[in-house]
Amino acid sequence: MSTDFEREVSAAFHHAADPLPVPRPDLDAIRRAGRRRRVTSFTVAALAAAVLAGGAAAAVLHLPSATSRAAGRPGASARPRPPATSPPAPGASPRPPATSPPAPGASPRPSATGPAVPAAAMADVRAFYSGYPAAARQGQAAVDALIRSYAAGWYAPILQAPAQSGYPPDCFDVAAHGGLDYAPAGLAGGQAIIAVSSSDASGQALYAVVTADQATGKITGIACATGGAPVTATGARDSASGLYQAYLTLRRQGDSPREAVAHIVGAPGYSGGPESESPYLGQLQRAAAWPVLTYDPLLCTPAGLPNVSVTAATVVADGSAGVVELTPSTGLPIVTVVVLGAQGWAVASVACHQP
Amino acid sequence: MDSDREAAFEAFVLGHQAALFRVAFLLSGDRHHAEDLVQGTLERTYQHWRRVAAAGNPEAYVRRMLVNAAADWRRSRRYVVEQSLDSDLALPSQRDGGTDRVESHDVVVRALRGLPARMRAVLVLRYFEDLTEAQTASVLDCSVGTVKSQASRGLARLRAATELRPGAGEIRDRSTP
Repeated sequence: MSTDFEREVSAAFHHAADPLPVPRPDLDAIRRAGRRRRVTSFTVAALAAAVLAGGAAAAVLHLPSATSRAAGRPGASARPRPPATSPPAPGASPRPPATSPPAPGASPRPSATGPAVPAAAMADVRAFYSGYPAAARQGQAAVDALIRSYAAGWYAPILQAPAQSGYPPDCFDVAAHGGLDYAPAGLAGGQAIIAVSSSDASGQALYAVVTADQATGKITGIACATGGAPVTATGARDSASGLYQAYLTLRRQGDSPREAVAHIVGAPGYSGGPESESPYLGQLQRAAAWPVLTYDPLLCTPAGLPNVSVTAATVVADGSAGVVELTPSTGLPIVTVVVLGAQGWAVASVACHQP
Repeated sequence: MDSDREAAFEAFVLGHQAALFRVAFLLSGDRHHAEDLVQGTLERTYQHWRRVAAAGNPEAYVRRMLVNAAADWRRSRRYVVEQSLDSDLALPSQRDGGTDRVESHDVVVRALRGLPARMRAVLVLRYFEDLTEAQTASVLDCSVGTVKSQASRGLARLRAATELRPGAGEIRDRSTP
């Protein structure tokens, strides 16, 4: 330390901090919480190991469950499972049963994420959904044009790829568009969250959780969610965290974004794997956009491998989806929407800012 | 964890918790968040104690965990600070009276609160913990050059604050989008 000012700064810091009464450490509480963390981290490590070993490790980590036994596939239970939904019958809709539709005219429960959704974002989302039936009747070229008009430039090619979940890009049958309900669900990481909802003929509520750039109103993600799925903030947070942990591990080992996505989608027992119908990763795998993507579609950055931490998780769309905000060590926040289908938790959209 | 490791962990906590709390306080600017940061850091320390102890310098290892936790916390709360005279960081001057020196100290510490997380960590580690530039770089996992530049810029911003001597005002952290 050499200058007077540096000495002054040091004195100021000690002046502020030294007189503070120091709380007594609660060693028992620290130990209890530390043990709980160990259990959690073991689970995450097991997931990563299953991914890295391409399924070989999954056999070692196998915890038997009804679904994995039926599927004859080891390791399927290593990911979180929906608490009370049954697997769909072969050929049946992937939507889980037994939920009530919203009352006529009622809005889905908004989340408590603070400031209002900008009117421009609401208007763009409404315009996209209003124009969709006519575009669908005209054909794929018209749908593509509509998507290019209302979706962010980087997201449009991904949205145009066939969805693995079986839902159309907008999540709804064309016939349902007349009765769509739009509800603002707050802001997260610079994205406006809008819950678009409908009910099918059986009364099952269905949601599209749409993220739109807060500044431009352009759609950055559409996640299809079934009404009444018991989504929790913790489950959504764990799902997003698990995906990014595995993805970053693979990327740091030298995988390209495309290779890392393929590894994860192909790994049984992982929440982004084929069993859990991960719509976003599925679309990414099928997207013809890879040659034109100049950025990493999960990390939302053109270069570098930042650390990513989960900073907030909120349940939206009447409890049917979780919005998880992630903060990379460099760059702008990433917003993921996590859903809970009959096969487990899955990241259903990843919203970037313009990379 | 066996009894020897438990004893070593307990000794570590009792020996370092106060220092960790004071660093956490300067990093967060709030004693309650400082308590949370230290609690969370010690939980992770317990979780990984075998590895922490094996690292040879548990204090440095845990200090790094604490700095990272503080940075995560700042990012998570979209750090916009309303500086007010009744904030935790202003309490010492209220207790001690209003001499120029004490006022200057308060201005420095308040200005610290508005700095980006890494710059703030550099200043706290260098001028509160008295770490060398190399030790600071090791804790922050960056180069010595980064420590030097961050310290230089941070000191310049603190100096500017003391020269302006603002009263209660608003400092917006520009490090977060």
